[in-house]
Amino acid sequence: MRKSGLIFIILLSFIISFSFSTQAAFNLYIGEHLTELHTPLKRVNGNILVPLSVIADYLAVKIEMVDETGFTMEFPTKTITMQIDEVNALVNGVEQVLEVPPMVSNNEIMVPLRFIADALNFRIVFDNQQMALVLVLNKDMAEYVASKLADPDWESRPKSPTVFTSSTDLDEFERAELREIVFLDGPRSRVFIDVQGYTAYESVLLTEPDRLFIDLIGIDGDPLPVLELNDPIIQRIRSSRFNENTIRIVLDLNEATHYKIHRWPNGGLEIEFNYQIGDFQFYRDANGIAKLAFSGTAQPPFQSTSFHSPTRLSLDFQDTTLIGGYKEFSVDDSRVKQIRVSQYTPSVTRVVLDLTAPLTPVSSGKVNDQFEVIFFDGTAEDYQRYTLSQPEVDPYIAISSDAEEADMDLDDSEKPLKGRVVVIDPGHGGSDPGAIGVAGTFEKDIVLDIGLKLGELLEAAGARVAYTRIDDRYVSIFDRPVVAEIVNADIFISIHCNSYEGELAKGIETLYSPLFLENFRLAQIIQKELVVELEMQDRGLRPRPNLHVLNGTSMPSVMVELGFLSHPEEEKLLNSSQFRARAADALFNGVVRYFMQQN
Amino acid sequence: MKIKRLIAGMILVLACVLLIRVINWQEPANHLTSSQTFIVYFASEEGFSLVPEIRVGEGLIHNRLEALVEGPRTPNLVRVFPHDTRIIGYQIIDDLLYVNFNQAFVDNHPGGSLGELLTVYGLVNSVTEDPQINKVVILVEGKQIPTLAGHLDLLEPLSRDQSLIAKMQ
Repeated sequence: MRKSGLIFIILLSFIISFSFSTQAAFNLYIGEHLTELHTPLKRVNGNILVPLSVIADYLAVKIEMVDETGFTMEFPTKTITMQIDEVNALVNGVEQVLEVPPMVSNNEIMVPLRFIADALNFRIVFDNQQMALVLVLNKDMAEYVASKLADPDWESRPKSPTVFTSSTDLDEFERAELREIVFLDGPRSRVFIDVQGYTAYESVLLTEPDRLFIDLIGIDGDPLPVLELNDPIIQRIRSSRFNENTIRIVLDLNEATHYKIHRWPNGGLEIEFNYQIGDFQFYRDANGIAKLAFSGTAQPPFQSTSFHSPTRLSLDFQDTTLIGGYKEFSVDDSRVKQIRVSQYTPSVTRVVLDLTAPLTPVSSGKVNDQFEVIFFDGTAEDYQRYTLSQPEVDPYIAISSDAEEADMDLDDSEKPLKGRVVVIDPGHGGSDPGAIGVAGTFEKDIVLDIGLKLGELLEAAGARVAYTRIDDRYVSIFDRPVVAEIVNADIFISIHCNSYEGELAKGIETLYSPLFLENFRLAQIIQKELVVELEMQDRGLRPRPNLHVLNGTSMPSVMVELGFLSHPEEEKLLNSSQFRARAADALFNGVVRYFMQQN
Repeated sequence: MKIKRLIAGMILVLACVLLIRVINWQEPANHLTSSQTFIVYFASEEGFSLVPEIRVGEGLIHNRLEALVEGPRTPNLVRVFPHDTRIIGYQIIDDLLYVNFNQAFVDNHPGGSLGELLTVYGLVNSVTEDPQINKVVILVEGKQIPTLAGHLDLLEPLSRDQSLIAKMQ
């Protein structure tokens, strides 16, 4: 797993952040000179792009166009070649990857400042007081620029150089103070450096042994005790006072891994390491299912994209560092010809599968410390068709009393709900238990009992009642409103119990589709009856435009949520038969009142 | 109890202030603005609404999904994804985001219409903060599912539901 051949790699990375309150444009100083920006600085994905002409003028660099999009910048020690909209660059002939490609803005070529600073070992500092970005040159370059500027023949000389003095005066700023270093729990390795006030910083990743330095500049406070960690990437975190201005924080790493530093609004810094992945292999298991196996510190999600002509599939693993570098291998498979794995950008590993027929990633797994992406032989549409081809259940319609039966009742003219058709929809059922209470109560059992009790009351009052289920069976949400349509119901009542991760949630709410005012009227009456009768917290009426059973019905409909199974006391209540009878009473009273007010 | 409410209220006000700042940042690209932040939504303690949480970093879909998997950092907010939820992968086709979850997304869901709404719209509202994304399709192990907990129809692409977001004063 150790990287070979790399003895001393320095990835120098400056992340410049800006204080929250600023709205003004920023100035750019190169060395001591305030640059004249005809095209403003551009910020793309955390990278600052500067006009190429500014680099030419203020660093006395010769620019040559190689072709229509390619250009070289000739620094005294290094030649950098870039291409517009391309992430690959050459530094003295060695290929490197840019986080952001050069691009054209206002007819100017814009180039990433940080990459140039890294390549030439310049520092980028943000001066918070002058709201200026300062490219601090090293001694050789500063002398070179000074000599060029003194040369009267040099045509690109800046017209009116303004001398910038602040870059050496960092300690005149209000000093920041280091408070705490915290390892953040989460899917990947993160560290939070809690700093009171603004601190400039620099970071350097070193190998052999692998470690990350973060220098906090212009900072007070004592170094913090060593923090030993049990983390795939970070071994321990040390800190020491490097000089009177600087505290150096050292993260000892198990393996050098690309990282990002984010500045928090309150001044703290968050360091976020990439996941590590590598050892990609493609195979088919005993059942012929295509799989891509790889090793890693965790399983990062990927963004997949399908391409045509030639057919290929790319998987971009975000925030990952590829261990082992570029790899390309051919595959003996009916659908896959070749696989290419590369570090596409410093934070993205791209796996490209060159295909002869479409392949769709559908699942992932972990087998013996290896992660797997599992594929389906076909397009995503094929896969949906394949999985949805078998319908799960037949809809079941139970109509309790038919019209003839009701007509035979003797004193039916007295009955308040005569001629009304009500559909009762006890939620969930069968393989779908609904919410499960803290003590193990199933929502499907509670709501069925209340539904059946309510049905009895309604029938006794002369209504015709249809149920979406009268026993413990699964009925899909698509079939439930169909029942109401078939019997041409006057109203539809869906009975549910709630559940929630937050412990405080309790009480009763009634949900309705806000498309029709009549739904609101029904919901209002029922919610009031429930709250008064059951003496529980009134969570109010909830307009819910997205609930299928309420949207699929053409008559007034509501969904009642009779308390929270996630709340121990309410679960106890729902388990009492007496309470369920009272709930049915309250619903019944609501229905009667609704129809009475309608007349 | 009252203190908790007060704290929650203060966080809300803070979030509100930050949100206004975020909106203010939509200024011409030539201005170098503040550190990058993005918003994801988690649920309020009593489940009445979704509450924005500000995260530092780039507002990439990947980062938003990762933040939702990680759960809230703000005290008193409640995670919207069930425990052990993992995101297998995601795909963007035009303005549609397909998110492929592992089975735990369904198996560990506590149920209840409230929980289902907050899970689904916690996701949808968080990713549609990205102007590129208009609608979301939820997949579980690569398959579309008819519903998560028996209340929402997940076979149709889901659009943002602004009504679930906590009203700012």
